[in-house]
Amino acid sequence: MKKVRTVILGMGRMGRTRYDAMKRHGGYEVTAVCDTNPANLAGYQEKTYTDWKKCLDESEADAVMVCTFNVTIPDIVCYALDRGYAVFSEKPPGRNLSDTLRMRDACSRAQNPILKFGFNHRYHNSVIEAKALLDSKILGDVVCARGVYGKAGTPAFQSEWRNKKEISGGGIMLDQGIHMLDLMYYFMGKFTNIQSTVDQLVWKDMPTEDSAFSILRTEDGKVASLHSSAIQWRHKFSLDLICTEGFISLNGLLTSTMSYGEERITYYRKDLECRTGGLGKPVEHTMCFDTDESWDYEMKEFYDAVAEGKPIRQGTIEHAVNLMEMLEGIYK
Amino acid sequence: MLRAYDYAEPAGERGALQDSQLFQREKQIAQNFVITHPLKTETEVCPVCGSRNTRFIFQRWDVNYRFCDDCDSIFVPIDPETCAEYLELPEMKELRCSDAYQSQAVQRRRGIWADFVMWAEYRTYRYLGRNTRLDLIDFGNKYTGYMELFQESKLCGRYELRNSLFPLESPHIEQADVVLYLNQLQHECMPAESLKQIRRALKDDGILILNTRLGSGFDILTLKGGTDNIFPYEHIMLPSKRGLEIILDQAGFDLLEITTPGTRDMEAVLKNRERIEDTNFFVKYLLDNADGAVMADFQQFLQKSGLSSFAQVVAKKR
Repeated sequence: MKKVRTVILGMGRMGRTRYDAMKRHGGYEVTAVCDTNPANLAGYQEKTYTDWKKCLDESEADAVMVCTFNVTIPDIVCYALDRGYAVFSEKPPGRNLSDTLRMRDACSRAQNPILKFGFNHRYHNSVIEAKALLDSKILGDVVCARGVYGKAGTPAFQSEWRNKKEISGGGIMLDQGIHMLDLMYYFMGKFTNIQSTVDQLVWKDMPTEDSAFSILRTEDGKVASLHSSAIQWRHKFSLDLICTEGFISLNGLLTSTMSYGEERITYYRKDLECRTGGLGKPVEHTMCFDTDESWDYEMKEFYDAVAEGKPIRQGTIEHAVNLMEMLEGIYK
Repeated sequence: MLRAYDYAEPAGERGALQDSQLFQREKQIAQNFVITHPLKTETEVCPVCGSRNTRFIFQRWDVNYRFCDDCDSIFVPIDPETCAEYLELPEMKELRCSDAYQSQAVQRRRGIWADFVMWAEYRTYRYLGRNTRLDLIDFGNKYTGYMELFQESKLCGRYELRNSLFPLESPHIEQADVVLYLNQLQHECMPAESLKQIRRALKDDGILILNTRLGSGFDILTLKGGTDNIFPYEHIMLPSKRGLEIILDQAGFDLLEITTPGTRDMEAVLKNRERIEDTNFFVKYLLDNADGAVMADFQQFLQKSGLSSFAQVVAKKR
C-alpha cells in the first residue's frame, strides 16, 4: 500500500481523531504534528512543531490535515495548496463566504488541486442509508425536510473560542448547524430562498447566536426547516425527510460520547390502502448502528484521491462554496 | 454492525402463513418419508463448525435434533442421499406444485413477499449503487407468486430459476448481479458446500441475498420440539446467527449485513404455550401477564437483538 506522508496541523480533539483514523487506515504515514499549544503535542513520536508555516515549509509530505480554529483555516489551506500539498480541512470552510472563495481561488491555481472539507456527517451510516433510499427512488422524491440539531451548551459556553466571533465567524449555526444544512443540501439540492431568525435567546452576552431557525426553499420548490440550537440542554439530532411515496427519519448520531443517542434510520412507505397496518400506521422499518465508521470512510476517500487519483466525492470546494452561500443567506 | 427491527401496531391475530389442511398434508408426507427412511447415522459432528461438542436437544417423529455447544446451531445428522431423496419426493412436489397450494400461498404471503422485494431493491441499491434491470438467479424458490413478484420488480432484467420444483423456462445466466437463496438453507445437510455452488453463480461484484430460519431464535429455543413449524427432513439445518456467519465465511463470502427481522416468535410461543417446558417460568410468566403492546415490544427487542428465528443476509464474494 502506497504511503501518503501527512502532517497534521492542530492536535486538539479533531486532530487526534484524524490521527487515530489515519493509523487505522494504514495508508498514511504521519510525519509531523503541529499545535500552538505544546501540551497538545505531548506523547507523539512524530516530529513536532508549534508554527504551522514552519511545519509546512520543512516537511516533505504529500498531504496536510488542517484541524485548526476557523480563523486560521483559509491562510493554511491556501498556503498548503500553493506548495503542492493535497489538503484536507475541517469544517467550516473558513469564517465566511469570502474565506471560502479565497480557498477556491487557491485550489483553482494549484498544481495539485486536491482539497476536501470534513463534512463528516455524510459518512454516518444512517445518512448513507438515507441517501441510498432516496437515490433508489423506492420512496419517490423528497419534497420537504425538518431538521433539529441541538447541543446542551457547557458551563463556560460564552467564553469558548467557538463563540468568539473573530475566531469562529459565527455561533451554533456555523459550528454545528452547518452539518444539518449540509445534509439537507446533500439530500435536496441547493437552497436559494432563505428566511431565518438568528438569535441570542438565552446566552445574551455572546457575540454569536445560540439559536437559528431557518425556512429554506430550493429552486424547484423543495422546502426545509432547520433549527440549530445551543440551548437544547440535551444533545439531539433529528432529521425527517418527507417523500412523495414515503417517509424517512434519522434520529440520534453515534459520537464518541454517545450523547446524541443511538443512531437510527426509520422509514416507511405510504400506505393509504392499509395493506401493512391501520390508516396512518403503516409498518415502520428501523435500522440501528452500533459502530461509527464515518471517520474511516472519510479518511479512505481522501487517501484514494491522493494515492490513486480518484475524485473527491464529498466535501469538495464547490460544496463548501454553496454551503457558505446558504449560510450567508441564513445570517443575512 | 447493523441492527434492525420493524414496528407494526398490534392489530389482533394475524392469519397463519399456511392453509391448515395443506400444511397437515405436507407434514404427513414428510412424516411418512421419515418413518420409512430413519437416520442412517447419529454423527455428532456439527455440519456448521465441525465441532464434536454437540448434544441432543429435542426429538421430532423419533428423529433426534442436535445442538452444537460451540456455534449454537441445531441440526439433524442426515446423510446426503436421504436428504436429496426427500427433496425429490414426488408426492411432495405434486402437492407443492398444485394450484391450491400456490394460490393459498399467494393469498397468505403476498404482502410479506412484496415487502421483501422492496427490501431487496433497497439493499441492492445500497450495495451495488443500482437496482434496475439486473440479472437475477433464484435458487430453489417454490412459490410461483413470489417468482412473479421478483420478475415484475424493477430489480429484474433477466431471471433464471434454478433448483426449483418448477420447470420454468428461463434464460441461462452464467453469473448474476443478484443471487436469491430464500428459505433454502434449512434443507441443506452440508450448508457451506451448497453455498460454494451458489457462489459460482454470482458475479464478482454481485450480491447474495439469503434468508433462513435460525436455530438461535426465541421460539425455537423456547419450544424446542414443541413447535409445529419445524419438522424433519424439511428442517435439518437451523444455524445460529453465529453459525450462519461461519457458513458464509467457509463458502467464501464476506458478510455485508445480517438482521433478524422475524415477526412471529411471540405468536408461535403463545400459540404453543402448553408445550413450553414447566421449568421455563419466565416465559410462561411473560405470556400470562403481557398485553399486546408488551408482546409487540418484546418481539421488536428480539428482532433488534438478533434473537428472532428468521434471518436476512446480504453478502458478497470475498
